[in-house]
Amino acid sequence: MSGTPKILLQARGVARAFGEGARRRAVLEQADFHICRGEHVALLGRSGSGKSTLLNIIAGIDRAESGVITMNDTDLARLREPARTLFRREHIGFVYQFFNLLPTLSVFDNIALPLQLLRMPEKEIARRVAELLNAAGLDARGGDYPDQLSGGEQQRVAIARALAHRPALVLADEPTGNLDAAAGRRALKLLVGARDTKDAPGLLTATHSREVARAADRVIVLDGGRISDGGGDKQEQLAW
Amino acid sequence: MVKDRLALALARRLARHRWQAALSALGVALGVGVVVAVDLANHSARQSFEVSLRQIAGNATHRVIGARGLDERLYAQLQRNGIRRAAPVVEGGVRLRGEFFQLLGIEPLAESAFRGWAPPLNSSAIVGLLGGEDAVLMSARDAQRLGISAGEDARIKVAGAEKIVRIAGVIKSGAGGDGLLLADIAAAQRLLNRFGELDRIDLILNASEVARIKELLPADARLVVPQARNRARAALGKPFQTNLAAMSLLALLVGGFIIHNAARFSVLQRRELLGCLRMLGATHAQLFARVMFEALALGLVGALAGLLAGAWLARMLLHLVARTIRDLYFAAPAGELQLPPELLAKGLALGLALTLLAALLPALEAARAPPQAVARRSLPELRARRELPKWALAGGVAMLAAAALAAVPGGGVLSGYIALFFLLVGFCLAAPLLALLLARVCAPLFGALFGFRGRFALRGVGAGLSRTGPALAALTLAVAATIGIGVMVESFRASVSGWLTQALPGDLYISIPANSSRRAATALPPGFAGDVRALPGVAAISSGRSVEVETAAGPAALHAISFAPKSYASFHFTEKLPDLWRGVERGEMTIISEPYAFHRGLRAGDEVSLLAAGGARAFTVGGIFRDYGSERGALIVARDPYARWWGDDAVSTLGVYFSDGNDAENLTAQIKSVAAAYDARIRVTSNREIRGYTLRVFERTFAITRVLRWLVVAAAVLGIFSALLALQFERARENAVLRACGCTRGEVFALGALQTGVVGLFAGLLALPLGWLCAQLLIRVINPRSFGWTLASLPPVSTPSVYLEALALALFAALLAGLYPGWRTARASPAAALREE
Ligand SMILES: Nc1ncnc2c1ncn2[C@@H]1O[C@H](COP(=O)(O)OP(=O)(O)OP(=O)(O)O)[C@@H](O)[C@H]1O
Ligand SMILES: [Mg+2]
Repeated sequence: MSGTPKILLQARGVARAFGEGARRRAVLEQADFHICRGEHVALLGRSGSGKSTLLNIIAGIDRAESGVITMNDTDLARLREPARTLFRREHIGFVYQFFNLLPTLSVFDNIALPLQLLRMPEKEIARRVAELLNAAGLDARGGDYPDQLSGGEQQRVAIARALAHRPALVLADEPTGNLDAAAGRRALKLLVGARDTKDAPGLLTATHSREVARAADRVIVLDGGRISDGGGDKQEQLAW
Repeated sequence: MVKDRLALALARRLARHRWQAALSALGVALGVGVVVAVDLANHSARQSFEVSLRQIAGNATHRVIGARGLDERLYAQLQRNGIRRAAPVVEGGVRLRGEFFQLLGIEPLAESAFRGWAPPLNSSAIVGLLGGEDAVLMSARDAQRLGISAGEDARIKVAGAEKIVRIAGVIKSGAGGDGLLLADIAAAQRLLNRFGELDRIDLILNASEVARIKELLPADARLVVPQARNRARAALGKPFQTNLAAMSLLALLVGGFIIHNAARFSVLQRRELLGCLRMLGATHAQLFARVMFEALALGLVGALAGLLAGAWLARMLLHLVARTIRDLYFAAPAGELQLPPELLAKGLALGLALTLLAALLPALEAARAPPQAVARRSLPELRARRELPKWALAGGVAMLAAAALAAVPGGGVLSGYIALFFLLVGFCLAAPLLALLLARVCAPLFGALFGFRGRFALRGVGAGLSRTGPALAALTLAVAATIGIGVMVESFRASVSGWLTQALPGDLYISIPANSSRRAATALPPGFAGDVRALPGVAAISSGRSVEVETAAGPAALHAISFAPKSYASFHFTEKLPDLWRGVERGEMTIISEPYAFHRGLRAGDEVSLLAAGGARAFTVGGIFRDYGSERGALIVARDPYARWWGDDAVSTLGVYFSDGNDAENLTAQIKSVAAAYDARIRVTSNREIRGYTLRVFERTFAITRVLRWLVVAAAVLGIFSALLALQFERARENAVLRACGCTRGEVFALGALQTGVVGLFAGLLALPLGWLCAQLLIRVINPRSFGWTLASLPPVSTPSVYLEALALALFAALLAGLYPGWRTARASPAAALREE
């Protein structure tokens, strides 16, 4: 990484609780953290600690009850529909543990869909998708349907789809959680490899995997609903 | 062309469930088809009814009519006094080859200004008419249909007597004249036995002539405006047609449920897909638009198919509608189907609007599909369940509104139908919650009957309510409609048959066919009544004269009766004055039938004015009696005063009362031979025969109702079929797990059958109270408000078959609908179902 790191996303005091009345339980209480441009941050935490919840809030598919999340000078928490969706469409890519490819579209069309939503000309779409397929090592599989691919291959398609529109931030929720070690490494390589390009996206990966954490530039930990933005030392955090 | 990947992603999943799509299009088609068919049939019947009235009326601005026809010398007198544009008419009904025709006697030389369709004076047809004895013209279309050509002789029946006429020529088709036989006035008078008489004189008058003519008219003649009279007659058919239209809207409503159901499924089945698309940046509006567009496309296909089906069905219905109108109103509409584009456009628009409305909620749901819940299956089901009380509450409010509308005294027919609509929709909204409660109540019973399978099936129905709810409601609606209409028809039949027993106290009725002209009914020969009375065994006779008289509000049927002792008890009054019979015998009072009172807004104590020979005469309404004999209604006065004031002491009907302990058959035979000696046309009918005939006409009137009822049921079966099919798709995985756990195909099939049976059973059970409520509305509100008939509502215990049949129908419909989906499930390979994403 070169030059002074510029801040891409800044979160302050993000809080979220679920349930009603007596059964109400705070999952996030005070999440403070930041992500720089092109930076790869790993989000660690016990199962049920609220990692997915946090990612959902950033993606704008769930809402924080309080707190501020700014990205590109936009306060995400304050956006309403459809502005939130349009923001996500343009600036955010998402990778799930369970791939979530559209079973009704071919591999090619799965990757092309976000581009089309952004009204990219069809020619450019074709070029871009071919590029991504190549990077994913799936050149020959563009015409196949998701149910004809292995789990690892499906995840690489999902990653290619998340990267297709060159988002500023990619959110990945356990991207390797459902894959064996070799397939996981391959997917991770594709995801992290995207940062070699000029306009590398920021990357926030929620994970249990040491290997993923080790590949990150920095690690933040969600514990008891809190993240403290110490900008902490990676090795120290991994000792957790 | 650039492919729209968003549309593709959604549409491909839809295509996998193309049966579903086809069924929902079929639902629209059925709804639209029935509405269009009824609309077209109604329109065509009304149109021909109006045309037949108009072509008889012609361009006349005024018309002179008399208390009992007119003396033909009046025509000459008018002409002498400078009223130039005048045309005399004598008319009467005749039968030719079994079909009803209006024989119209005209003065060809005076006609040209009046009836544009009549052939020109110099045409060979008119020359033929003037030249030959008993020559008539008919329309080319009628002639072709009956295979008659110009120059031929034809046999016609006039008031029961056969006569021969020569078809002098045909009137070019397109001009009009269908259903008419046109004759020179002298020939018509001869054929109808109306020598020297006219029915009316048609006139084209300006204001000064109107003033002048009033002075020329004798006391028993009156100047009227024909348009108003035609409108009044045409309005008579309205309630009947409104009834049909309401039923067709019911079919549309059921169709709406089918589309709604299919649209919901299509959204539920694609929840994950929708969530994923939202995640990738598709907006609410985009998804909403997509789902609406899909529904609209299906709706369009369905509605177009519905138009075709409707036009086809209308041909069949027209026949039934026309026959009913003929039975009820003695008019003869020619049965020609018309396809006015505005009616077709209306059907199309209705279908599309319905589709959009039905797809609205599902489309909103699609737009709201939460992206983070892509994997949370149970969420929508939970929400649907939580919303059940809310829907039920809304339904309750709608039903209260229905009750309020029905209770408002003096409300119109329309408010009655709106109440019915609110009742149906309100109950349907509450139906899913009621079904859930039923499932709770039935759980122990089902457990005892079917073991764990019974409980499993019940739970399945309860859990699947967001899927099965609308289909259940649609089936409930359709079955309730069959109950409501069934009970109404049964109550009607019971009322009519009870009334017949009471209203026909005589043992025999004697009449002479009176269909030649209502204004001057044929009479029984003088002396005949006395001979019958003199026969040993005859205890009493009543005699009557039925004619058409003029009132201030147009023509009305008047029966002048000399009562037999038993006659008095044959009337059941809904309201009456205390000294009623004395007033009637003295000629001060008239009694009127319920429909007559209803149409004219009359009550006991009001006054009506009838045109008698000496001029208008006022009668007090002494009572209003039940009568299902005529929808137009009738007035009754005593015969002696009638004979005096109308100068008519002829008798057209006799009621014969046997003394007790006589051989009825022998006596009947004697009376028949007396009658035959006088005139072969005299008809002697037993009390029982009249009752049978009246009930047959009654059955015919409701034949069309039955056809529509089955169409509504067919739509509901379609709805439940599509819902069950979709449910089985949905449950494919669950069933695959069951199979994997060792259930046999038979067991899986039986489980499915049990589940669908439960849906049918519940729909049937819920339909029982709803059907009863519908029947109450039809009997107590809609019928009185549209016909003026009070019906006695039959309690469920006296029509158990209607309710039991409905229950069986619901069960059968559900099981039939569940057959194919069940078979598919049982046959499906569990491995494939488990592999599926
Ligand atoms: N929609 C929801 N309604 C109620 N509770 C929820 C909802 N979403 C999440 N939770 C709760 O919030 C908590 C955090 O969930 P979350 O999925 O964010 O955890 P996580 O850190 O991603 O766990 P894992 O590592 O197992 O994926 C859990 O206890 C979960 O039950
Ligand atoms: Mg998680």
